[in-house]
This record gives sequence, C-alpha cells and structure tokens, in this order.
Amino acid sequence: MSRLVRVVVVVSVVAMSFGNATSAAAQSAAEYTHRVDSLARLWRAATATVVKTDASRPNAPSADSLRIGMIIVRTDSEHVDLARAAAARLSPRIERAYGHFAERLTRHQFVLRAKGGTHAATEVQTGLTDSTGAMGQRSSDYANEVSLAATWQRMVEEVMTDAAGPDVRSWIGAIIPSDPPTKTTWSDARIALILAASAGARDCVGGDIIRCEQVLGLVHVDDPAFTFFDASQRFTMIVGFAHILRRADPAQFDRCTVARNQATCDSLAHAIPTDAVNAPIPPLVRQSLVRFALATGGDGAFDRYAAATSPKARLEAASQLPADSLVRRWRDTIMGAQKGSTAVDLETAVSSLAWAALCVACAVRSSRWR
Amino acid sequence: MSERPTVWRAILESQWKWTRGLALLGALVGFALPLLSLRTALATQSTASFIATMQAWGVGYAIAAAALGLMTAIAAWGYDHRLRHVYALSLPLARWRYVLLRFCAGLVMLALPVVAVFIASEIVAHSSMVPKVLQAYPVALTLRFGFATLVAYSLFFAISSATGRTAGYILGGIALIIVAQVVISSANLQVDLVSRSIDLVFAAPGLLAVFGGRWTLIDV
Repeated sequence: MSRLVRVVVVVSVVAMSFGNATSAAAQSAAEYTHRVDSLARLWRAATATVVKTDASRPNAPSADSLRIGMIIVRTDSEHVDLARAAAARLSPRIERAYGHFAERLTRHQFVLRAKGGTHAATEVQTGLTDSTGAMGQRSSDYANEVSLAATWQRMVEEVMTDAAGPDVRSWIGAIIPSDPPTKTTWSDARIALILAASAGARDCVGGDIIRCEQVLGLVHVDDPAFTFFDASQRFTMIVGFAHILRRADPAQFDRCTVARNQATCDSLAHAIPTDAVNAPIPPLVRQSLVRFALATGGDGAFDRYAAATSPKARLEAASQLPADSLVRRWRDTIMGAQKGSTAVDLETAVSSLAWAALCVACAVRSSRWR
Repeated sequence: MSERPTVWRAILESQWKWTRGLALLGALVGFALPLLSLRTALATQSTASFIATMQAWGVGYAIAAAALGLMTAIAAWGYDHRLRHVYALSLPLARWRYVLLRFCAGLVMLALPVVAVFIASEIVAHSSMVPKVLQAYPVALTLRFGFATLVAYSLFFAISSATGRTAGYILGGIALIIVAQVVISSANLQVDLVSRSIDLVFAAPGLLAVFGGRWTLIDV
C-alpha cells in the first residue's frame, strides 16, 4: 500500500516536471519560486499521506526501540517496560546457547505493539523483522514477560537454525532448541528411536553404531528403502505410496499387495525415488544428536557448528569429537535415560499410605456399633 | 492338647470364610490380566501399537484394584451389619482393636490378587514374545496395583464402617459441589468447581492419585 502511494507521488512529481518542462525555459524567477513552492506543498502532502498510511498498517513498528544484548526491540511507549523485561530474561539464554553467533540476531528486530480490541489489556502483538524490514513470525501473546520471552525464544530458535545454514533444518527436520538438554530430552529421544518404524533404528537401539550413523544421515546410503527397512516395513511403505504406484502399474501393484509376491514388492520399492523414501527416524532423534554435540562441545560449539558445511562435519566441529565417538556417546546417553513411567513416584506412594492411614483412623474412631 | 485360637486367628478365619470367593476371583483376574494383555498385544504390527495395546489394558488393572478394594471392604463389614454386630460385641475386644484386626484381615485377603498380578507379570516379563527393544515393569506395576488396592480398600472400609449419618455427610458433600457448580454456571462465572475437585482428588498428593498415571506392564 505504502509502496503504491510512493509510486504515485514520484510519478506525479515526474509528470508535473515533464508537463512544465516546455515553459520552464521562459518562466520568471517569481514563477519558478511559485512552482517550487507548490511542488514542495504537494510533496509534503504526499509524504504525510505515506506516513499516515504506514502508521495505519496493523503491524507497523513504532519509533521507540531498545537493545539488550543481541536483542533489539521496537515497541510503542506503553510496552517499553514489558519489552525490556522480556529481553532481559531472554538475552542470557541466547548468548549462552549461540555464543558469538548470536550477533546474527542484530540483523532482526522484535516488534511489540498493542493488540487492540477486547483483549488489549491482557494481550500484545509481536513479530520479528528480517534484514529487509519485513515482519514475520507474527503472533499474539499474553502481556507478561515470561510468556513473551518464551515466544521470542521460539522466534530466535527459528532464526538461528536458518542462519546456521540452509541444510541444517532440512537435515534435522526441526529447529535447534536453545535450552540446555535435560534428562527428559534424552528420554524423549530414546522413546522416539525405539518407536521408529525401521529396522535400521532397531539395530541402532541394539548398539550397532554404524547403523546409528546410517539412520542419522551421517553416512551416505545408496538404497535407503532396502538399507533401513525390512520387507514388511517396505510393504507398508508401498501401501503408503499406493496412489502413485497403483496408477503406474495396477497389475504389478496388485501382485505385490494382493498376491504378496516378494520379488514384485522389491521391484516396486526400488521404483520409489530415494529422496521420497520415509525417514528411518523422526526429527526428534537427529535434533537430540545436535543438542548432544552442542552440549558436549562447550563454549563456541554453535559457532563451530554453523561454520562447518556438511551434517557430519558440523557435528564433529561442534563436539570436537570424531563422528563415531560422538554417536556412541550420544546413543549411550539416550539409552541410559530410561524412565519407568509405570513406577509409582515417592510422593504418590507416601500420600497413598497417608490416605490409607487416615481412612483407618476414621474407621477406628467411629464410636457407635450400628 | 488343644490351644485356644487367638482373636486375630478367629477374625482371619471369619474373614476368609466371608471373602475367600472374592479373593480367589481377584487372584484369577489378577493373574489373567497380564497374560491377556500380552496375548492381544502380540497381534499388533508395530512396536508403537504393541505398547498402545498394553497401555489400553492398564485400565483393567485400575478397575480391578478399585473393585477388589470396594468389594472386600463391603464384605469385611457385611456380616457385622447384617447380624447387628452381635459377633463383634461377643468378642473380648475394644472396638478400635476389632476394627484394626478386621482391616488387617482384609488386607491379607487382598494380598492374594496382588501376588497373582506379580507372578503373571513376571511370567510376561520373562517371555521371549516381548520385543527386545521394550522393557517390562512387573515390580512397578505390582506396586501400583498394590497401592491402588490398599487405597480403595481403606476408603471403602472407612465408609462402610461409619454410621449412616457419616455416609450421608460424604454424599451430601459431593452433592453440594455439584449444586454449587450448577449455581456458578448459571451465574456465568468462569469457575469449574467439579474439575478442580476431581483434580484435587486425582492429582498427587490426592486421595486417588495412585489411580492416575500409566499402568503399562511393557513400555519403552
């Protein structure tokens, strides 16, 4: 919208200039001054229109800004304190997680403004501008520093993952979280690896480190369908691609899915492009490996991770370990993070005994024989 | 030479007489649950669905624990109520001792189903049919089952031993919460009294918290 207004103004000015060009040579100084003044008036009016139009845009950032660490925030005056508190809460986390690489964040600006409407008192609108000034990741949030810092943290994670390299997100299939990993991180990764529907993942769970490297995508595999999956898993995959494979050759598809001819199924599995074959493990598993490498590498790990080129080189650089050692240690860590969910925790056990004792006490105190 | 049986033995024998059928049925159910859950889980295709099936059977353990606790508590007091406590009054015992002995006798009866769950769970855990990547939790499941049975039994034992007025108070309290919720809802106030009450009971350290959580014999 504002671009349109600007174009109209420029075209108007140029058109007027051309329109007056023929008589310009013959004008007097007074006429010339009058024309310049009128042009200036026109220009000021047009500029005012542009400013007014920009200001009326729903997500236009206001002029006030603040910077805490690598976080730059543009906000309106009524939300300065909130922005400062959220930025102060988030800044140390970002610098701890990304090190010097966090400087990339200064290319972006957080925007915080009133939401308006019925929830104006409790909610705000926020977003993150990129280096061109365009705002993305827009969202509404509660107007408190904890919630806002959490939202901004997710935005930072998105930005940093993309800034680390275009291949990073496509390899992991997810972002790189900035929080330090916990036992739950490893436990969740263990569950995801165990439940992954591929023979390769099962071998990795069993302790085969080479298979772990394969399913993690650290080693090139020519034929993923046959390397990662057994016959029954490939059959499931073929059924999943039925809409394509049946159309290509209905008779062949039926020989596999109805007659269960193994050779035909193998042929169909080969027909699936390697880049379309299902991933042998979910993104959470690769994400946990990256987090493990970053945690192992210590200071400057993210800088080294971002500076390298391939997934394997990135992990080796970040952790300062050979890939096989890293994967072995990662696997031992996640497989050791076993959490018996069926177990009764101490609080529940103690409270159960206490409640039982209370019930018995009530029964004992009942004074009347009925 | 014949010895006079102790009061404890006399009460235990009477408890056995009254609840043996129930205890044996409980033991049978407790023994069957782990085996049936494994049998149905074996029919699944993937590890995830295997676990889901085992987890679905978890509800069965919770229901069995609650039902056993309820029925054993009712049976523990059933004859006393029916015979107007003549047997209890004939014993040379204070009421509080009688209640404690009666409670403990009920617990002994409940030990049978708990042991049955443990034995069957161990059989499943050591079965070669469980996928190697998964873990069995026979002890954890048995402990949860035991605690749940204990809580259910204690609760219903206390209610059953109380007077009609006490039972009225408990029911009245529950009714009061429901009526208050109806009034609050009709006043358009955003307070969910019933949900909060349920949370209080089922979230740790609530009275029935042990019934929440997972009851899975085989898990990741």
